[in-house]
Amino acid sequence: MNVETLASLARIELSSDEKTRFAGQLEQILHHVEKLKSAHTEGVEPTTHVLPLANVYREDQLRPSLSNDAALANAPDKDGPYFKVPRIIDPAS
Amino acid sequence: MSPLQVEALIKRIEQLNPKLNALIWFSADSVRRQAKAIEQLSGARGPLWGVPVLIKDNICVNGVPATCASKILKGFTPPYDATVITRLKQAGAILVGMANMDEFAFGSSCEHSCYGPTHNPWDLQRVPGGSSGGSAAAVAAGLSALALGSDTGGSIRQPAAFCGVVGLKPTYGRVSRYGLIAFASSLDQIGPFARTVSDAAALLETIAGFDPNDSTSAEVPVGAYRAAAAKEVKGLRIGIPKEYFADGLDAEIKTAIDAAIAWYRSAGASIHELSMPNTEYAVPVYYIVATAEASSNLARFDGVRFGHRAEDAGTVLDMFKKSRGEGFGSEAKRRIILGTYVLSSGYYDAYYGNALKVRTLIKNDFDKAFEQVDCLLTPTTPTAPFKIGEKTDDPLTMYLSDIMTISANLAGVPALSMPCGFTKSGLPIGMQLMARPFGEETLFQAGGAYERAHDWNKKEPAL
Amino acid sequence: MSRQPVIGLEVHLQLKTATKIFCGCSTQFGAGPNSQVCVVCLGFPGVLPVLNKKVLDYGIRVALALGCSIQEKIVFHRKNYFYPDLPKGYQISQYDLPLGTGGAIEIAPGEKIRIMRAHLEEDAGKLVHKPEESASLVDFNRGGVPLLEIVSEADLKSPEQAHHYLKTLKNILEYLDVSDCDMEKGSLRCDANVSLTGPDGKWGKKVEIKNLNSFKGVSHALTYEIQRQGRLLDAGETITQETRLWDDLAGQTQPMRSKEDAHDYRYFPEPDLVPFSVSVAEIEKARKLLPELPAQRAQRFVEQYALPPVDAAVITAARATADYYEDCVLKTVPDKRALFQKPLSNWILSDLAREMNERNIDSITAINFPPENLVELVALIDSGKISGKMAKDVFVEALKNGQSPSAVVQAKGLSQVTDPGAIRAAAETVIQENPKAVADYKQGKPSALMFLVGQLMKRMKGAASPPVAQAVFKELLDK
Repeated sequence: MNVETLASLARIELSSDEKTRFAGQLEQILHHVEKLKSAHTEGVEPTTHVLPLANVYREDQLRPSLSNDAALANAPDKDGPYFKVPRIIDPAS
Repeated sequence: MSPLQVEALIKRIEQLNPKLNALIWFSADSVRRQAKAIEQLSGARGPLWGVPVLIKDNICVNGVPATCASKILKGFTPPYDATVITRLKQAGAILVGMANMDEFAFGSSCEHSCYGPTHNPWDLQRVPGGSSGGSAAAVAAGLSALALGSDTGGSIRQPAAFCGVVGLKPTYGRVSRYGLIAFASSLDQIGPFARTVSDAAALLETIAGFDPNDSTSAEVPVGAYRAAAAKEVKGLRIGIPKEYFADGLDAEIKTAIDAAIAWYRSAGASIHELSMPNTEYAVPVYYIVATAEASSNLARFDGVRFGHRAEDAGTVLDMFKKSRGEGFGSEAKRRIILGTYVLSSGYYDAYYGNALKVRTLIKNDFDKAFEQVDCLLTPTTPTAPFKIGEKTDDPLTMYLSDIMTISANLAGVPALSMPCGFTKSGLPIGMQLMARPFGEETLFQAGGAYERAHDWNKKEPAL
Repeated sequence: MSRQPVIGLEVHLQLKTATKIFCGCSTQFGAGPNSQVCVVCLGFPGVLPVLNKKVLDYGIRVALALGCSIQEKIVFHRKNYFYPDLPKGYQISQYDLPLGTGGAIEIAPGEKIRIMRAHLEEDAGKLVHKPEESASLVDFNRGGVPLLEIVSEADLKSPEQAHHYLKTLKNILEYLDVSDCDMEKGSLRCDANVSLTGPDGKWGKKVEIKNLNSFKGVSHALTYEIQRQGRLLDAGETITQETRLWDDLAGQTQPMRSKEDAHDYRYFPEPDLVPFSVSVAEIEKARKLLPELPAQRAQRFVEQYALPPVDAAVITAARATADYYEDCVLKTVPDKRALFQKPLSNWILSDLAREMNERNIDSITAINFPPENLVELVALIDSGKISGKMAKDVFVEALKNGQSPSAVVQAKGLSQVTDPGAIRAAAETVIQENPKAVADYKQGKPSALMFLVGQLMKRMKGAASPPVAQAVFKELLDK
């Protein structure tokens, strides 16, 4: 398990101390998880939902949207009616 | 509540909260305003009218900060009410404030909070349990009559046990999750904390029921929970799963649970020892399923629309990484990374896919058990509350302490924790009752009868 | 052996429901930035999605029309990736249990292109780049608009065929009335996968091309990309499996800046939504309710309007054109319908089609010549008020200034003279001036009559109705 790659995939910057610490702790946890290999899962269906619910919909009916002010009220940065973010460029380029 | 009671509550909070750090957002004015406003509510006054309810900091209340005790959500004010909040407001309850918790509900000690740890009212050196530690401690210390928590792997029941109060994790789908800031969507449930079983029943009656905003809430009628709490247990079949009494169970806790079993037998219930052989897999399955879902649920904290954004980010990628690196605490980062790993290409089948299958086995254990018995009785925790700082550097040991509570979330069954004694050093002990899906009435029945015959909840922490 | 292009197209279709796929916000195009957003489509903490029933209904309609089978269990998955226009850090999409699989459409007689799958997902927001400020702005109005992704098998062998597939697909989709199908507004978007087979017939590395915003863009981008890959292979180089963006102005594809990580979307079943299933009865009901599709409509046009099969096929390809034609028939007085149905079709297939082609118009509705005008024009010819030749000029004039054909005829004084009284005076003059022709006529030469009519037309500047003129001459000379 490569903590650095995973942190990058999860978009989390880690300090070098965190990288080392997490690597050890996660190895330990994964070792514990190995136990699952001994479970008898041949022919067992996976459980993604514990309740046997299906076909829950809503009708195609309008509901009030937020005002633009309310939508942007929590935004760290904005520009007029827009959310604002730094430029999108690739780190490789 | 009379104006006098309102002021007494405010005074008690202002006096005791600095010792406990159970409430992380509180406004005396807001409490006074609500107490006045509920006088104007039309309709019959139900059992929750005028009753103070403390809200865990991961449940959205319109206009009140909700931070999940995380730096990444500092300053976030939701512009909407969670469905449970709408129902509490309609019932005339008074929202006392927001309760401390482990960051994003990741933890069993309430130490992983950006506001600092909550202290156990029975021993301020010890943890109140987690993640809903603030809710449990506040109810135990009389800072609120009732509280809401959320339970993904024991986050209501374990702190209820540690703080000597009643806590219930409802059946998955019993209570709407709309407005609960998600940790693990297939496991999370909001549930009540109270001093008594019937108070917990009243709170559940108010918040339960189908919600069109939550596709996973069930259209099953809400039971008469308070009435169930008044019933006797004669003829009730209680199962004792042997896997919950294995090595590592504290002797004092074992003694307390044995006494409770003896009482049930004397009250006319039948006791059945049984086996739930897949229990040993619960912790590993949980830490795969829960972290996988969490890694995805926490992706929305990206610094674009709300929450913390790093100041010195030159590009979007920088902004994502720095904001999340600065905003999340260690436990959150650890779980996101683990969850990312178990879902990643090449590992999905070995970890996540396999865990979902073992989850089926665990659920099957419950189905089989409930063919024989009406409810299961186990300890809530293997040990009494531990000291603050004792386990923070050892995540695996911390995870393993959830061993008694996790299975109920994986199987989706309801589970109640209630006081069943104290250790010699005066720390509360909790017992857990579990029933079949939507069998909350059985839990209230078994819990109510036991409570009437004991006086554990009459004892108060010395503060 | 020459290299053979292997092309597959992924079409994203915005479904025109009133509200978004998982919340009640409007999907209307063109509203002010971030005015059609709520806590759900902004991905605020604590919110949950609830599926819009109509999205599923529309999706089923399309899947059935494309010959797909509807899956017994329809499941949504989360596709995890970070981008500032993606509110939750994941897109709710479908993965191994999509709505429909295994369809095909016929793009020419006997020429079938297979559809691999059709699945539902949510659209992302829109980014507006501000390079001068080193910033981008985000508008989430589009976030959560329902999309149906239609993925073809890699059956397409040339840019022309790909273009034809896309056109046929769009025609079918328009008939289904579930989307605006407007490439310019982005309600129909297209990505392509292109590779070249090697001399051994094996498929080469696949390149994905994005940003194909028009039909022409699709053809041009594919032509460019096939040439680019061919040149690289000729030079002994290898093709990189990558995503490239089509730059319409530069006329070339360019590599998209590679993401920091290889794609790892970490798909897993969306725990916030339950599975969906559609019963066989419901599927059959939806199939019965499918609107008439181009092929069926062409068949009906042959039977109902006695059009030649080729004409019927062309006129029904685009729904708007077929609607236009039927509207014309409907606006024709009932006892003339049988007479007009062929000329109306001829006009649409010749003059109107030419007009659309010359002005690069996509839909017949964009021509400033409503069905009642075409009916009027054909009626003017039928009544003898104008000749077929004059009608062509009237059409051009009517288009130019937006007048009705009658108004043009009136304004220009183009109307044919059909009153024998008005023609008689001129005919008498022609008879006096052309004794030779008159004599020829009287000796039984039919061409003499045509000559006289021609002289009359010259005199009247073409305004006389030829049949009436003939009758007048006959009347004057035969008495």
